[in-house]
Amino acid sequence: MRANWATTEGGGAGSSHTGARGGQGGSWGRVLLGLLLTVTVAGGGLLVVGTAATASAAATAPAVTQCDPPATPTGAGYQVSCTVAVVNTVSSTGGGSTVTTTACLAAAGVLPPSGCVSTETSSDQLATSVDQCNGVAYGGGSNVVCSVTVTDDVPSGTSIAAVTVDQCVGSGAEGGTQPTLDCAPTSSVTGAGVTQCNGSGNGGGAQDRVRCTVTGDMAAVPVAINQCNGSSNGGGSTVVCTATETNVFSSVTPPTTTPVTTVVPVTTATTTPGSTTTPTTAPTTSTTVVGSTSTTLAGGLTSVTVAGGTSAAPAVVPVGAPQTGRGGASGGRDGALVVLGGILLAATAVTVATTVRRRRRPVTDLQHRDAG
Amino acid sequence: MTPDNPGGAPIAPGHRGRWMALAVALLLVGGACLTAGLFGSHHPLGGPAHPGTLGLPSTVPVGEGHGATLTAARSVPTELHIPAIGLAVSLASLGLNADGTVEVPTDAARPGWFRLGPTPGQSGSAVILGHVDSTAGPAVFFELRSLAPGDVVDVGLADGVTAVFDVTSVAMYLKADFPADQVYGSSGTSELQLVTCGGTFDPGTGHYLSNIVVYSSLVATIPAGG
Repeated sequence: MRANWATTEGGGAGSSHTGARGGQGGSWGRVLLGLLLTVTVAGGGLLVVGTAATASAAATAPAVTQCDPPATPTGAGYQVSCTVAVVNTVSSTGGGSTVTTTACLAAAGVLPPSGCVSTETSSDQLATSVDQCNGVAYGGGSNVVCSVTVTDDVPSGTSIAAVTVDQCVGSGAEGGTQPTLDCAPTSSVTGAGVTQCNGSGNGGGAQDRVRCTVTGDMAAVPVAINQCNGSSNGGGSTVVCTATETNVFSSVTPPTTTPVTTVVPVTTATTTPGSTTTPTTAPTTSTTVVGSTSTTLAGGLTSVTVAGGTSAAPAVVPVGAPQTGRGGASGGRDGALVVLGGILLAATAVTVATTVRRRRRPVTDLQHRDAG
Repeated sequence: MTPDNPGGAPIAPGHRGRWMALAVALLLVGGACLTAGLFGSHHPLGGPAHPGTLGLPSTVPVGEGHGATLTAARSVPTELHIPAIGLAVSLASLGLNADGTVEVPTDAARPGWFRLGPTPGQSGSAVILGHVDSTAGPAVFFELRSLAPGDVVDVGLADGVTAVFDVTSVAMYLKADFPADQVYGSSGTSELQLVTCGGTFDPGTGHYLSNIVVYSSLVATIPAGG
């Protein structure tokens, strides 16, 4: 949009210049010409600055793109397996993201980790879009298996928006074993947040050759997902694509409180007076594994590339210890003691009964004698 | 004068006192036995069955374990199989509570994978948590403490791949000293940590005082349909 506007503006300047050149040549005309030239030069400069600023913003706001042509082939007989895992983290101090991608390309039927290249990118900007597996491997006999998982770690109380879906439209057509589509939910919303599996898996083939799902109907940080469209056509192909949205609501971490005081779990809280000081989240760490390369990208991004596998640093390290027991198996009953106790209590009852009976018997005997 | 008592011993005041004393003694001893038998022991989950691993370094250094260069693509784990304890179960997904602690499974019969970390087979530490027991009795990870180094843990992934891990050690930590960074952090290899409760049960809080952690390293991946 801005590019079009700039083009129009440039044309306007040219027209103005042409108009001035056709003027009467008077002093007012020269003044007007000078003003127009000044405005034109200044406007052009602003446009250049504006464009540069936009490009800079784009560099620091991760827009994930992979497994699209030309890097990924459009021909026949390929196994295209690509994943993107986005963790967007929002705190009181700002936001950031960690994006883990895996792109695998091999002959059809050769599954990951063959032919895989993975990257992990950390940024101080939220990831906004994912575009992958579009317009690839449509020569027939290919499998396109792609997934996007988005985890939004946000403070409690953050508003969430519905995830709209447009998928499986114009797919699984042109013959083959019916049904050809296995898509959930069935939805076609224009301009949806998730657009996937449209115009794919056509040309005949197996039953359920287009299997696409969207899980998670609300998002705290909207990420536009566009994948598996116009792919894996040509007959005998399959398309399996998923998009998953998860929201994790965490307590707000005040930036001025160092360190943050968090009450430890119940067990320790009751046995240790006070509270334990523990950071609520550990800083994200990037791990380089054997055979990997690490590069620093524009905007402070760090990319780690791993041959044949994936590298995933924990996005969040939970605090405290998990409470995974309720004591139902902790009774530790001693059967022998229980039996002995029962016998002794029974003996007590017999003893008491005997004593009471013997105390009452003389009275009864006297009554019998009186009656006699 | 004591009346005749053809059916038993004479009832004298002294005898009645002795009988009552005996009854009281039996009552006290019997009650004590019953109480001790029912409630006397609260620490049957006394940690790993192999105390030799207790307190040892719990992760295999990079390059030393089988899984030093193995990884699998990120794919959500769906099933957990541990043949040594006869466990085969589907997996839930776990996130964080509002206080930053990890969620625990709502179903005592079903463990959960901590989804904000790596998936099993990725480089890093995947973590699966399960209950040792519920209020009703033993739960899905009750036998976890009996695992030993070398036992196999299989994790089925959503993409059809099976990630195969070998147990490297089993450790028990007081919850106050739970090493979260070690359990959830990465040493550069593909690892899987299984976490449950253990040790002494505190009836006052309704929780165990310790956690049991089974550390394992990736040794193989089995492709879908393999």
